[in-house]
Order: sequence, then C-alpha cells, then structure tokens
Amino acid sequence: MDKKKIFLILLTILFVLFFFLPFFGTVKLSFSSILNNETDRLIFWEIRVPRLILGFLAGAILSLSGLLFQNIFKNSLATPYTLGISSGASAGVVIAIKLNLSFLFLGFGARSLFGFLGALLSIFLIISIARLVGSFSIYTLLMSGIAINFFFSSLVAITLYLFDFTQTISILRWLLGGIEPVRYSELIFLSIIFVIFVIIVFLIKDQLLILSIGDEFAISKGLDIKKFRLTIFFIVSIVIGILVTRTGPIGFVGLIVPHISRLIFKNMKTNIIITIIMGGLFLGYADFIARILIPPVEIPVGIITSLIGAPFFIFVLITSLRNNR
Amino acid sequence: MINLKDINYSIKNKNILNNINFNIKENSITQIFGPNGAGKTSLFKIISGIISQYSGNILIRGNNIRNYSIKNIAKQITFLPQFHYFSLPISVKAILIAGRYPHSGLFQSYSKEDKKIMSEAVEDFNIAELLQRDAQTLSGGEIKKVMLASAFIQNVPIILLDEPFVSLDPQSAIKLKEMIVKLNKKGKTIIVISHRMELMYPIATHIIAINEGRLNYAGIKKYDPTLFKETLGIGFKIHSKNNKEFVIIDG
Repeated sequence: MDKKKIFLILLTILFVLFFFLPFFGTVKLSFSSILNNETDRLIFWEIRVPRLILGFLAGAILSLSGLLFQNIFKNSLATPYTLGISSGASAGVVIAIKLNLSFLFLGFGARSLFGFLGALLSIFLIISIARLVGSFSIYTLLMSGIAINFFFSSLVAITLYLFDFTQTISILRWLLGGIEPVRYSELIFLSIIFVIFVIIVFLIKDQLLILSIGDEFAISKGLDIKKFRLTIFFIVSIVIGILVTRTGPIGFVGLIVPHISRLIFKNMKTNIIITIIMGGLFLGYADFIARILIPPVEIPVGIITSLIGAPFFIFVLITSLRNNR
Repeated sequence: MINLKDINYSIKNKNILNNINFNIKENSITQIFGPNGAGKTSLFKIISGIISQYSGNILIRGNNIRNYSIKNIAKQITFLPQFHYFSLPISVKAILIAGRYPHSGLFQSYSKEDKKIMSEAVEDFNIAELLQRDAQTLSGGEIKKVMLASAFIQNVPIILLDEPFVSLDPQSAIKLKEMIVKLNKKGKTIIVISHRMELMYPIATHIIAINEGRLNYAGIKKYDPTLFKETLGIGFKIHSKNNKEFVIIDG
C-alpha cells in the first residue's frame, strides 16, 4: 500500500473519532441536543471532548516514547511500560498523593515531579543492572523490567493500605490506566508538553536511526551513544512522569503502535508521524470501547489496551526469539 | 599518521593485547593477519574509539584520540565490522546516508551534497537495486556491500576494514580489491584485517603480523616465509609475472 492511501485512511479514522464517537455512550447525544439541552451540552463539551483529546494525546505520547525506547534498545519489546518505567512513575505519583504534596517546581506539580523521579529511578535501576551484567540484551532488560515492576507495585500496594477506602477506589481506577475527564487548562499544558516532545524527537531523528542500526555502527559514525541514551532516558522520564499523573500507567500502546508502524514504514520521518497519529487513534478508540463496553460502567482504558497488548507482546516475543535463533 | 604506543588491553583478566607498538604511514595499505583470537578486531575497535578501556596511547597526526570527541574520531576514521546483525527493520538507504552523519551539524539533517555523495557510492558499489530494501532481508554478502558503501560514504582519511572479503562472491571480492587500490590512490590510508593473501598481499604496502595479542612484525611489506609460518602456521609462495604478484598458498 502506498503512503498516500494509508494517510487517507488514517485521516478518515481520525475524522470519525472526533466527529462521531463523542455522540455515543451511556447518554446518546445528537447535534441538536448539544445545542439545545444544557446537560447534553455539558456532557459533550466538558466530559466527552476533553476525554477524547486526552486519550489522543496520551496515545501519541506513549507511542512516541515507545518508539524512542525500541530504537535505543533495538527491540520492539523494550518500552517504558514493559521495562517498569511507568510503574516507577506510578509509585512516585501515589507517594506524592499520600504525602499530600502540592507545590509547584518550575511549573510542574508535585505529582508530576514525583512521577518523573519514579521513572528516573527505575531507568537508573535498569541501567545499573545492565551495566553489572555487561549487556543491554533484551533478556537482561525485560527481566530487570519484571523485577522493577514487582518492586514498585508492592510499593504502591503498601501505600494504598494507608489510604481510606474511597480514596483507594479512585486511585485503583487510576492505576488501571484510566482516562478521566480533565479541565481544558490541563489539556493545554499537556499539549504544550506534547508539542515540545515531538519537536525534540524530530531534531534527533537521525541519531535515533543510527543507533537503531547498532551500537558499534553508531560509534563508528560518530554518535556518542552513552550521552545520547542518557538524554533520551531523561526526556522520556519527564514525559512519562507527567502523563502518568493524568492517566495512570497505560500499557502496550507504546509497544504495538511503533512496532506496526516500523513494519510498514522504513523512513524515520514517516515513522514518527504515523506513530503519533496511530498512537492517538489507537488509544482514542480503545477509550471509546472502554466507555461503551459495559454500560453504564466506564472501565479504565488500560484494561482494554492490556487485553489487546499482552497477546501482541507474546506474538512479538515469539517472532523475535525465532529470528534470534 | 597513526602511532600506537604501548597498547595493552584485557577483558576479565585475560590479556587480549600486549604492549602493541606500531606506526601506520599516511597513504599506505596495511594488511593485518594472525590466527583467530589474536586480538586483531580488538585492535580495530580501540583505534576507532569503540573500546576505550585500554592503556597506552593512540595518536592520529600527533593528537591523542583520547582528546577527540566520538564525532571527531568519526571524521578521521571509519570502521567496517566483520559481522552485522540488524535487530530492527531498517532501509538500506538509511544505513548509507548514516555515513554522512559525522559531517552534519548538530540538529541538522542531511544536505543535497550528502545525498549526492550517497548516490555516487550506490553506483560505485552497484547496489541501486538494494536501496529500498529492508536490511533484515539482505544476504551476508549484500550486508557487506551496504556496510562497505556506508563506510566509503563517510569519506574519511583512514579506513579500517575487518575481514571485508568474507561472504563476498569472487567477482565482488576482486572489485573490492580494486576499490581499495583506487581509494588509496585518492590518498586514503587503509588498514585491512584479512587472511586472503592472494587478494591483499599483492596490493599491501605494509604488513602487520599479530599472534596471541603480541606483535610479530609491523612494517614495510617483506616476503619472510618464517614470519608467515610462525604467525599463521602455513606458508605461501609468491610468483611474479608481468610486474604482478601472485600468491600460492603452501600448506
């Protein structure tokens, strides 16, 4: 299939996402009802639309982070979620909530900052383990990721026991990866982060590509891979820290989307654009399914993505192990 | 042009290189040979900045490479590894243009000039039909050609080739040999790890014999049967005809 066709299909799907899906849900809306009925207007503009935008942004950010990690580690299975970065971030956020921290640091809230620190800590752990082993092989990375996941999950669990019941329920929902309605000011903040993130990724696309060819290849072409990796870790930690504060850890989007995009497109620039659009669409639709699957309950979208993502993970694992043999 | 002074390198208490000293003359073709595990590839990785935990000093035009940034080393030296395995799908074109990376500015993508240099190499190496292919689907010989082209696109004064003839068909091997001579005439300094005496020995100006991390000989090419016997365990004879040298392996 040629590029133009795929773009056209994606744009159509995007159009449907933004102009049709917000009308569907537990309360059915119509074009005239959101103009004439105050409740319907509020549901549409204050709940469904912001939620849709948040879903799209989150999907795009997660997919782009996944793309960065996959290129750095040269394996589709290595993503911020599978390596335990998201769970580190969640632990940071939960602790910030428990400690009732609310300060601003360079414009970032306490929760985002703790999310960032949690993400950074798990990355630090992964690198330390890999250095001790002496290899960044996918086995080392995934095994460390599992251990780090377990560790931060129990940290979260302990903290949860310290909360009262109602708070625990809302945090549990968040932990399962929920996209909840947000204020527009939040969306603007997240959009700014998103745009900066995309610009940075475009600026470093050549380096990203060279490193994905191989470590030794990258050095012999003049890329300081240690410095470059650290830069990426830092950027991804910030972005994931901020995102996890809003949506909780949402799994596998960052694995599935860039993996598929790379299978179709070999050009880095196209790959980045498609990953952004497909990531946003994927999570947008997954959240729509999460909204309508068991009405009137809205289940956290993280459950849907894991339901699709876990089998996909196994599929990629099998193919990558077969190729390595 | 390149001076190695007292290079020692070990992994996990095993000595890989012992007190290596030699000089490479500008615009020379040096053939490095020695049995498997002699430390030849490690030597290349040290010179090209991939390995940095060695002792001793390497000077390029009198400057210690420890003071060079990785990008500045890549403006002087290119290294063609013996094997390459692609873990992710990637286009051949992307691998080729990566050769221009050391010459690009920070956050600056490849220029028209870069793309022109790339297309010239594509023609030289006759790999136009591979350009749109996914590198994961290439054969061993095709990978070699693509990586070689990417190294030549880098257009640096010093070229290190690790077993470049392995997995090339006879015709491509001879073409590569001619390419080495051509590049040398353009002023490049070329160091080649190879056991293909029949291909490399006639075009080499210097030879380096290395065994178990120690230098047996480094200098101007000389026909010394005992040196080859000592280093490789086999000898060979040289037969001259019409001003050309032919090598006959003598087991």
